[in-house]
Amino acid sequence: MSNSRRLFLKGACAAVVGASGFTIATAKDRTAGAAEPACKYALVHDETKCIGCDACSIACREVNQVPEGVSRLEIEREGPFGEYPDQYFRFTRKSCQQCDDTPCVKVCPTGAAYKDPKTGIVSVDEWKCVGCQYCIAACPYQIRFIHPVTKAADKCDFCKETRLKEGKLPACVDACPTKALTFGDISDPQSQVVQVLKAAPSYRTKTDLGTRPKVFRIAAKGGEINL
Amino acid sequence: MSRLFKYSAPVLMSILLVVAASTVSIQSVAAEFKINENKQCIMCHKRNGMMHGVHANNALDISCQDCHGEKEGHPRKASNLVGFGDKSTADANTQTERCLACHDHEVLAQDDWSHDAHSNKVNCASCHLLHPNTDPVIGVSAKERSELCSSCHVAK
Repeated sequence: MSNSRRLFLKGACAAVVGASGFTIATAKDRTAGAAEPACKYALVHDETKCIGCDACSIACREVNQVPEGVSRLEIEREGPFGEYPDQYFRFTRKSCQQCDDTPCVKVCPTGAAYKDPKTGIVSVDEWKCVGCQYCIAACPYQIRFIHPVTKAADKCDFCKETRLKEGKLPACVDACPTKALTFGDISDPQSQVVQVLKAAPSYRTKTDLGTRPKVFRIAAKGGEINL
Repeated sequence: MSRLFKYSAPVLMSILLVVAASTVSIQSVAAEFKINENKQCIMCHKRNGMMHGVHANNALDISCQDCHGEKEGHPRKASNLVGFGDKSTADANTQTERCLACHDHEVLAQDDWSHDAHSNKVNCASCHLLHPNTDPVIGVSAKERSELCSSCHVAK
C-alpha cells in the first residue's frame, strides 16, 4: 500500500522534471535560433585614409534616391589642426551605426523599424511607418530623419534594398577612392572586415550606452594622409 | 530637299555668325587688356600666353613677370622663370609662393577648406587655371569636385 503510493509519487516527480526539462531545453533552442542571425554585417571607416572628398555621400544620395535637404550619410569635418602650412583635418562618418541592441526598434509602435534576422541590418518598413518620430527621438546617434517624399522614417541600411540585393557592396564602399571603407560579415573570421579590425585598433562611438554599434572606426592621425 | 535647305541654311548661317562674333569679341577683348600688349612675352607666346581671365584685368595692373618672374636669359640661356602646373620644373612650394604673394592663405581657407590641407604641397594650377576666360574650378558641381579629389588620392 505505502509502497505503491511511494512509487506513484516517484513516478510523478520524474515525469514533471522530465517534462519541464524538455520544455526548457526546446525553449532555449528556439530563442538561440531566433537571436543569432546568419551573418552580421558591419562597416569599418578607416579615418586615417579618409580625405573628405564626399564621394561616399554623393554616391549614397544617387543610389538610394535621397532628396536634397536630408541625408543618410554625411562626412563631418573637424579642423584645421596645426599651424599653416602643415595643417590637417579629421573626418568622421555620420550615418546609422547599425546597433546590435536597437533603441529605435524598441520604441517603434508599429514594427516599422526592425532588425533583419538574416543580416542583422537595422531597417525601416516604409509602409508600416506612421511617422510618429519616436525612433528619431530614441536614436542616440541622431541619424534618423523623415523622408520628404515617403513621409516615413529613413536612414542608412547598408544599401540593403538597392546594392546588396544585386549582390554588390554598399554604394559608399564602392565609391571611396582611397578604400577607407570596408564592409562585410563580422561573424566570419575570414572576412575582410575582421582582417581590417584585427590589423589596427578601432573604436565605436557612444559604446557606454550599450547599443553595441556595428560601425567601427580607425581613429584619424595627425598630419598628411598617406595611402 | 530645297525646302529643307531653305530653312536650314539661315539657321546654320546664324549659328556661324554667333560663333564667329563670340570668338572675335573674345580675341578683341583679350587684345585690349594691357597685359597682352607685353611685347617681350607675347611676341613669341601669342598662342600659349594670352591672358583672358580675371587676372588680366587692367585695374589689377598685373604683368606676366609678376607671376612668372623675369625673362633673364630665356629662351637661350638660364632663367628663373616659373611655369605653373604639374609639368613645370618648379616645385609646388615655389609655385604656390607666387600666388600667396597676393592671396592670403586665411582668406583662401574661408573659400574652401582644402586650401589649408594642400597649402604648399600641391601647386595651385592643379585645380585653377588663370589664362582661360573662366577658371574651370569655379562653380564646379559637388560630383566634379569629388572626382577632382580622387584624381590624385587613389588607393593603390
